[in-house]
Amino acid sequence: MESGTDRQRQVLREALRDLVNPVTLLYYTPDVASAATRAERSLLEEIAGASDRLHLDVLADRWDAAREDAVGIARTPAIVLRSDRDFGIRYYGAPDGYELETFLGIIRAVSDGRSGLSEASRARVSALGGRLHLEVLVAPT
Amino acid sequence: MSLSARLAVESPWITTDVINIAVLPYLAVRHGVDDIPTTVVNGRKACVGALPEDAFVRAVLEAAASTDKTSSA
Repeated sequence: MESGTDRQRQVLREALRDLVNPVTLLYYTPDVASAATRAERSLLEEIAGASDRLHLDVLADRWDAAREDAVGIARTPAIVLRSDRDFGIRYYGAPDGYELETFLGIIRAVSDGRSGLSEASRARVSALGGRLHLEVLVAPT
Repeated sequence: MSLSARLAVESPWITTDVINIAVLPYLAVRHGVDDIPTTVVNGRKACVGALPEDAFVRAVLEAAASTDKTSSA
């Protein structure tokens, strides 16, 4: 779907119309913009503009190791998705193409604060006793 | 919807990075990615491809257990 079209704006509004709680997208990006980061920022602005429960904070700064470590990001550009709770979800790269629906699904889950997992899955996960860090490598097309 | 993100919402023990390899191709090389999505748990490849929820959760937890054994050996 082409970014910036009326069709895309309509799809975004539909996908985000029932957000339960406010969600903030924290976009950590280098202070010197590139074509890729400009496109990513534009897409995030479009997504954030689709719901009054979505807020975009753009933090265009030089790399600050102490801050990035505290936030839990390993590199920029990075997107932190959070509500009043931080679930530890970080997104690297523009969520466009096929990844857009995935990204919108993450926003909905963060807003709702519920995983939507089955009872069986939740029971397995509740038995965890140590930290797990997942990295999911995807491609937009 | 990303199952890894669902897991992160479910448990405070779990964090997740969703990484577009188009912008970070070196990570694909580092993890030996030959198909997408590829899920890595605590630095170890856990599963490849889009799995049903039950299979995905099992694969993640098995990889985590395997990582624990390796680190405590």
